Amino acid sequence: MRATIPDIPEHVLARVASGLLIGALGLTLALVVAAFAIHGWAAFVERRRSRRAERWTPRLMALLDGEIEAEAFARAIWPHQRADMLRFLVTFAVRLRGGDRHRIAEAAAPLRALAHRYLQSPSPEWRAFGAHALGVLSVRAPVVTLGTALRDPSRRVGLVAARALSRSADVRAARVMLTGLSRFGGAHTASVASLLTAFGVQGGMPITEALVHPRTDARARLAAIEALRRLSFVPAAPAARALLVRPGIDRETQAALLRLLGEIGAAADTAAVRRFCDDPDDVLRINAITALGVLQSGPDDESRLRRARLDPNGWVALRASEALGETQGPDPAPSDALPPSPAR
Amino acid sequence: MWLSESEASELAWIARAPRRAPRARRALLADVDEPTLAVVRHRLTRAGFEVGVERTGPDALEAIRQAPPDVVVAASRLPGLDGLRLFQTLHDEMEAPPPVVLVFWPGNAAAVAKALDAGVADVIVRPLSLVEVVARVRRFVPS
Repeated sequence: MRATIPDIPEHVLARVASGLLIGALGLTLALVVAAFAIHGWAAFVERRRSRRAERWTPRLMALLDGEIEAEAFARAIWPHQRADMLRFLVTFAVRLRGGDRHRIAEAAAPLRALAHRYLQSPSPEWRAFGAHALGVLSVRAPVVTLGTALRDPSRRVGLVAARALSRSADVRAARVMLTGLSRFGGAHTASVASLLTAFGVQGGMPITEALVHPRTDARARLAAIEALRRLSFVPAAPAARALLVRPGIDRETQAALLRLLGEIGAAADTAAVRRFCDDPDDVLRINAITALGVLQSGPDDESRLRRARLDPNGWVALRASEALGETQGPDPAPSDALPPSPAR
Repeated sequence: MWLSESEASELAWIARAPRRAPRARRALLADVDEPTLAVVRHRLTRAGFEVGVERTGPDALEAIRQAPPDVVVAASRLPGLDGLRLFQTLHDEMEAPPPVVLVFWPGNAAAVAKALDAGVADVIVRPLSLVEVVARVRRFVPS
């Protein structure tokens, strides 16, 4: 069957084409005008915000000098200026600490309701800003609110909330944060560990509890192990030892636990470490021999280390030699002879 | 004891001459962060400093060469010439360089240690405590 071209007069086709062209032109023009209008509006809002910030800066200085009462500071502004004032105070509060930040937080008390409203916004940007503002501008961290924000569908909002919780240096916040650790996955292990470390030694025990909790997932465990290592939290050693030999623990976690025990462990932990000295996995063997080198507690361990010097993996052999004090200096072996280290 | 006429007139001139005010202590702030500059400048001014502000490393270097301040408070990260290199350049060029206090962002322990090893007068880690900033800067100027 052959397709036929409908017989339409040329002048009709030309009219339709020109109509479409004019329509497209009109639409383009409308889009250009809208883009200019949006750009102009954004520039105007930014200029207005800068002008307001300039006007408010001397008052803020007076607030920091104690010449203005904190309660009176934000009360003097109009309701439509509140959003700009909140941003203004956050800008300064993040740069200050101690009494200075506390004073700004007190002044921001009337604006916290606005930050709570931002947390309900459909936009993740606004929700993240709300969590950030609440974390920075609260005299006492709103642990429950930030704990809820930790489970926000947007991972960015969750991370901002975690940062706000860690900034509070409150053990209650550490516990809340640890329950939401699984939220961040592996991509953020190092950042989450840094946030956990911010709680200091007082956060060590809640982190240890989270580490051994059966519902904590592998990624969260890695962050907790790294935080305990950075804190050199020695009381975590028995828990780490017990977890190391628990069935069903993945190899990455086991390697991290061996590293942890190598730093915070004691002679009592050697039995758990020895089990991995002959493991077929190179990474586990390297970390086990390194830990055993630190913790070794007798001739049995020494002979085990001597055997490890002949390990087919160059890094295992090197760690064993180091542990036996047979190598000296910062660069004991020609690194060209070794494969890339899989230990970390 | 009688004074000669010339001695008496000299004493009278000394009595009339205005007492010279003590020289204001001068600090130079070098940072790109406007809010930080605003609060630190304000607090140092209140503490009796005459405060100069520069926003890039090369500008700060030029300002110090032209009129060395009593103390320099520089951010570790500056466009053109970072805080540590600014300190090293001052040490290479000047016989008596002003003390340099470097301001770091948190999480830069290695950079802080490097700066202290290099011999900077002091380091401050953000977020700042204004009382602490003034106290640290005051240590390097004659009272």
